[in-house]
Amino acid sequence: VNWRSLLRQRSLQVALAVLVAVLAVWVVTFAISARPRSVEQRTHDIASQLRCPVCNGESVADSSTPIAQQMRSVIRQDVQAGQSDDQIIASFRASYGDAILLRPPLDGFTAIIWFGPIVALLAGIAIVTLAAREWRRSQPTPALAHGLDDEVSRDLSPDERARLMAVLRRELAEDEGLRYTSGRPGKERA
Amino acid sequence: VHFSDLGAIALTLALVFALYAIASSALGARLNRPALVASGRRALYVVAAFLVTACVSLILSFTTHDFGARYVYEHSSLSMPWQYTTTAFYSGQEGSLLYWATTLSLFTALAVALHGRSPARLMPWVAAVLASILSFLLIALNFVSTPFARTRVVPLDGLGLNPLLRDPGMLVHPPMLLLGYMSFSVPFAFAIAALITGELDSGWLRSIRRWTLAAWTIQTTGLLLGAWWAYHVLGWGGYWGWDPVENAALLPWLTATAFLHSTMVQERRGSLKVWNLALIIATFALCVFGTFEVRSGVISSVHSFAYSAIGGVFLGFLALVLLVSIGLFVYRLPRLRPEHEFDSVVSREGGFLLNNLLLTGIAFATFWGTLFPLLSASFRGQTMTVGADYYQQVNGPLFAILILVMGIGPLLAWRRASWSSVWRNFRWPALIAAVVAIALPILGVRDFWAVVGLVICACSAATILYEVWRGVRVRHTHGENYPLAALMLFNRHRVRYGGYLVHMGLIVLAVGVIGGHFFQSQQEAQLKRGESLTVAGYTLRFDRAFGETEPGADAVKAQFTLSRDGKTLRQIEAGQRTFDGFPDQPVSIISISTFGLDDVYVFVSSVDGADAASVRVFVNPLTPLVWMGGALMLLGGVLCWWPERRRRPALIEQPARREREAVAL
Repeated sequence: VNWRSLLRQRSLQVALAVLVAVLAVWVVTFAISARPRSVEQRTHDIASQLRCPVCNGESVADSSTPIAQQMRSVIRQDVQAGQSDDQIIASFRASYGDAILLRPPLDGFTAIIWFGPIVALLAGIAIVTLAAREWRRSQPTPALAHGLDDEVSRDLSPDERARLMAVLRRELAEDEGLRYTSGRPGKERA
Repeated sequence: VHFSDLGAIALTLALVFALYAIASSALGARLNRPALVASGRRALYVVAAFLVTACVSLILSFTTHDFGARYVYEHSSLSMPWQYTTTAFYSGQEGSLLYWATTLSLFTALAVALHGRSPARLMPWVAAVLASILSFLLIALNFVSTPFARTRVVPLDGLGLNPLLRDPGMLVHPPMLLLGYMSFSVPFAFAIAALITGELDSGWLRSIRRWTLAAWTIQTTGLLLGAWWAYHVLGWGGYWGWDPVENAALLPWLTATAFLHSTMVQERRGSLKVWNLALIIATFALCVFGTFEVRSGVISSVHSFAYSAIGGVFLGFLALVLLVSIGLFVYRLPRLRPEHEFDSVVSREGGFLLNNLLLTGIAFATFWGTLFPLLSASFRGQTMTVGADYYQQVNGPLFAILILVMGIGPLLAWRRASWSSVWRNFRWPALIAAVVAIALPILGVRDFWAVVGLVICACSAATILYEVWRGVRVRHTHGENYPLAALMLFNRHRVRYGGYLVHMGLIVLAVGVIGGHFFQSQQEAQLKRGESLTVAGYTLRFDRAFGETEPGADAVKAQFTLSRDGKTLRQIEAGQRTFDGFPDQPVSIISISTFGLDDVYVFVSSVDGADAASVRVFVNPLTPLVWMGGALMLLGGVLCWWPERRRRPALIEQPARREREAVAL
């Protein structure tokens, strides 16, 4: 890839300029003026990582049972007392065991829940990449004549190209039940 | 003689005819006897007739309050209103199985009747496979869990319907979802028939294209109705909790969506044959798996009200389905060579591949999380569950990429897209995305991932709108005005533009999901009379609490005044309803008020006397978009499915038109 000639293209320059502008705004707004989460948000975040001990697969954040309500108020008190998210979760884990966690930790056996999908996705990507390499190695089949793509139109003279485009436009228009107008060539793309 | 006896007889006869249909279709195909094949086909019509009879008998048992039938006794009572009494027939294990079998028999009859133009060698086997699935359901209905069992003592009143099911959403959500599960049987039958006969070109795919679309649309409807029901009934301010049963319904939807896309590659280019077969078999297997999971109760769920001993039977059926499918698959592998190789990754095919990779990735992660309790219980001896949090973290990014691919993919050329065409197609959408990316943080959206998600949605939406706009403009240059041009575009290319409509719907839905997930505000409080609570600018004042007696139930309600900026918006009521016979299972009456794009969701967890209530208030911004997007998806699905008018050949029409024009001149 010739980077220097690529960089000289207008389109790429515009794209890069826009990208830089977006990044600049994002850095200013997200990194510099980030707001801390409110007590209520933090309570909800922590509660949604804990399983309601008496429910069928509901989190402490979602459940309306009395015990979940009590647990939420305990979490709220802990948050107000200045404990970190991890500390609060660890205290619940200490009293209820691993089964209380809805987001299994990344250690030992529970790691498989996280690695399973990642491994599967990587395997999928690997298979597709290997297959793609195979396709590239096989000879490309000759282009079909159903479209005027860049490869075909390269071999045509400008006159021929204009004539074929006109024929194509007329046929497409008739196919669509449209009135064919010869005007404004090149304005529309089929 | 009771209606239930009639039903029992009909079920037995249906099984006999279904077994006959398998034998005569398969033998007819094997020995090349058209008469036998035709006889098998007619047997399937008879099965449908008997199953409809059984269904009607069960409904009549309910409406006549025949409590001597155990199923009627367990699922209805005298005090229930007629609409719940009628629909109670699919509220339990046995009845829903009967509903499933009946709808499958009707679809089967349709499938064998309508497919005159499908590859002739396939049809007997399609009939045989569908008859086999029917036979399985009928064996279960006759011998394992029959809805027509009678007790010797006839009780005076029934137990009544589970309170959670007494909701208008429940009248439509389960039958729709079951219908969705069931309707994937037809594409599966065609796939198996193609494997058996070895006619593995795209003939079978063309035959099932509209069946799969219909099944997809039905399943989408079922999922949306389920989400809507959860939102209105469960009281936690959300509509999708990644509950195991919800996941079970989502899994076949994901693989079916992948299948709908990858079949286009096979129809166009003759590749991905193995993959397509695998996807449709997986879809059907996941439907059976979902049923097994819901019925067996092996995984705890908010839906755990339908389990029974039938789980094992479904597990056996699942094993049989997988064994037969994989066996046939391996046997036919030598015939599954692609007709064309891929030319480039940057192409329509490449887009579809990525789409499939993402959809199956999401399906796998969801499956994995759903099975995790079983895995942890068997390997560690401790049942551990993963919550919504896990699915959001794993599936959220995958869905985001999927939506991006959804915008880009349809505009890539088949075989190979040149970079210049990619640039031409995407510069404007990319610019709009950039504008959104700059505007959102400046307007005060300070959650990074929310901004990323919304930018992706904006980009894809812009791509689709730009594409539609270009189509409309071309027609406009040929003399149609803009509204007509847009209408004609959608009317003449239903599959393509219906697809865009589905994509657009998914984007709108995604914006709604992002809004609810990142910007939800909530408060809970104990309110005394006259006290108020303010959440995200909405103020809720507790006015009073009162009790009400309804037919078959007692309700306690709290009344509130909802206001914003000092202006009263409306009076609302929320509370709890306790049905007779179910004192321990109160059902919440939730109030959801929509103002613009905000949902104000009020849930009262308890009412203490006339002067105090515990209340939980959620403000869900953008959530109404979930339902609007869903409606758009369904509209698009129906548009894709709707048959196109066959065009009259141009050669015959042309002279007539010229004559008309000559006269006009």
